[in-house]
Amino acid sequence: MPVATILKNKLSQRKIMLIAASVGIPLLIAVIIMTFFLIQGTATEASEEAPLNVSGAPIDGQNAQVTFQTGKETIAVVEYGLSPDAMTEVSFGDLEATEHTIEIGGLQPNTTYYFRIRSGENVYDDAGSPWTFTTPAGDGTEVNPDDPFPSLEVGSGSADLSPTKTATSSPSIVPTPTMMASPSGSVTYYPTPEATPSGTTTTTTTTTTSSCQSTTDCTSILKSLGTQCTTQDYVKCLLGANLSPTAAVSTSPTATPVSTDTKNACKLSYLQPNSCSSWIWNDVLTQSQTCEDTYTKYFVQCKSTSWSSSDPATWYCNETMTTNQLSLPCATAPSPAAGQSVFCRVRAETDDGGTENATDWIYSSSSCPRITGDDPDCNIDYVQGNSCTSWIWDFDYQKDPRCKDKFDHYFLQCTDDGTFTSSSFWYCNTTTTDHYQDLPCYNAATPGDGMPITCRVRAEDGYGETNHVSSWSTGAAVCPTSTPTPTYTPTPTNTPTNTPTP
Amino acid sequence: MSQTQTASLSFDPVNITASAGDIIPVDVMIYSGSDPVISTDIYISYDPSVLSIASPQNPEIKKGELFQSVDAKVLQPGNLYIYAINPSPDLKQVTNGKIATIYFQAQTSGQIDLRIQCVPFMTQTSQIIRNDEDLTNIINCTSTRAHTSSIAIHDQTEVLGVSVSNNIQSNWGYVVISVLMLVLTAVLFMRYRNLMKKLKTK
Repeated sequence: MPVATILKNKLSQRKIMLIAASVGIPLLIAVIIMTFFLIQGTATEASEEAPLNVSGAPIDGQNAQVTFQTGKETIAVVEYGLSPDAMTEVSFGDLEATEHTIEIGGLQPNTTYYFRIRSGENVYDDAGSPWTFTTPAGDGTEVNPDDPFPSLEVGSGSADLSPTKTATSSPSIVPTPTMMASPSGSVTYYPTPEATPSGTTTTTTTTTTSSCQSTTDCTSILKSLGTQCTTQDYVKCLLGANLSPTAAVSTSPTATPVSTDTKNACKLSYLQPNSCSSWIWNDVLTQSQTCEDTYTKYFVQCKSTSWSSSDPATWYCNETMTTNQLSLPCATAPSPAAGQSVFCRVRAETDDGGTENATDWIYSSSSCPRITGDDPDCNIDYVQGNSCTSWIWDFDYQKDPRCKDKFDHYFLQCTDDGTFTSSSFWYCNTTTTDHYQDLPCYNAATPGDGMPITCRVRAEDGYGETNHVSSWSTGAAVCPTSTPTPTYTPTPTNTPTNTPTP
Repeated sequence: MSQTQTASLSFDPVNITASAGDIIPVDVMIYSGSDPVISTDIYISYDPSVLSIASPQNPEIKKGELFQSVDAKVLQPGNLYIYAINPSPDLKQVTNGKIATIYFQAQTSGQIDLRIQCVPFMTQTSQIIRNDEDLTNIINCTSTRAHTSSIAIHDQTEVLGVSVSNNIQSNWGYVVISVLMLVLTAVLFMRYRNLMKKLKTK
């Protein structure tokens, strides 16, 4: 048993070191070799994917062309947009190539576009800034072919940007829309390249992110797999996730500051009160693709004092929302009272929120309607006593839409002489939200028999001051005089009496 | 680069030689490391003039053992879509292996590549969905696009049957490790012999 023999013998320190060295040295060599291959492979792959000789040029007012080369065959994606911070549109070749010619369609004339290139798993730009091109004015007018890159703006970065004159003819692979039926029975157009696997020139299809049908029917999603839906949508449906089906690829958003151009382009143009509690503003979230991609919500604030005032204020709203309409109060805030001034402001914000990326505030103010003495809409038409202790007035008053928003309560006074002075005998002096009142109010005296009573009532808003009320409506009644109740008196009757008989 | 894009799709075999009229089985493989996969969408393109699916309306496909539900559709000639789903992901943790076997039919002589369409931002692009809360797409498109399968179809008189070869192109790391292990074993063996000799001498 050689191993047992070795173990029984005490190994010297030298032997242990020899064994350790014989194990460690080969392992070290292996690690060094593997690290070398790993670094070399990664670096080579990344450098070969980098675009060279990048050129961007308009073809006409609506189309442009980006050309570049890569050291290895890749599928390159051009990300472009109207600002450096909103390059949200993409266009790409659908075949791997080293010579890339990517056409971009659907552009606006006389507009500067920014673009960068995604090649492999990396994104390339012009030394930190995107490349640009500017489409010419007019529609469909082709740019002079002798001047193929008339508006290319070359940065000072390290990328090789020598605009070379290249062929502008259409590539040989032309995407043609092919109509095909999806399993669910709907007819859908798919831009389908007539692909030939070989070739170095790529053509492009400008993609529009199509989403799965907004349905919660998992069976429909299953039938639409491969065309309109993905298994991701289907799994979400199966799991019951309260998520809208998404496009096939989700990209991780990067928190980049929103440019001033984008802020200005997406700035709110109006904030309008329909009433002091109903506000509306232009929906910049759907105003343009740039705004839609940049901003996702509104931040709304409303309070009782102006924004330049430092006075204590009552807040009616202070929250974010996705709609462009607001009804006050928000959440548990109090409602603005009749006659109250309301100051609101709103801005669009990104997902991350905060002032830095938000648009400028837009301000507006409004005053809640109030009841005034000369407001004919809010006058009470009548008040009457059904008896001297039961009064009713204008019971449809609260249903009047012209005055409903202003109304807060009624104020009723009843005295014996109709002067409503301190010398009067008071039966009632109270507020109520009902349109009727029984007398006496609280601990006032009960009207006596035959006593005249005059009552007046007015509508008041939340302030209830003299200038926040409608005109008085007055009515009078007299308490009935009590008549003696006849009391029962037994009537003597002739009843025979028993006569004693002899 | 996202650190989550670790998974890829591939074909097996990667080189196929066949004759016109042959049925060519091609395995579609998935590799996701240790990430559990709940579903995958696979878009495969090929030259329909050289290769076809036997029954385009009902593509012939043999389900692998990884996913509970696998099916295929020919979206149009030359464009095949395969999906694989585990509706009950708790029953199985899918990571690596065969998704399905597709049966192509060689039409005429020619040389074509089977390609997996995987382009960021494209609507109809392959994806691999990890079984996590966000159902994250973890496909690495660069790696997936590199995994083509080259099919050479000759006239029937030239080749009999289908011959295939598997991919060792990207296995340099394993080769190096194997050699080093051999060297290590040899060194240890030599040291062992020397020690035995010294012990016997003592």
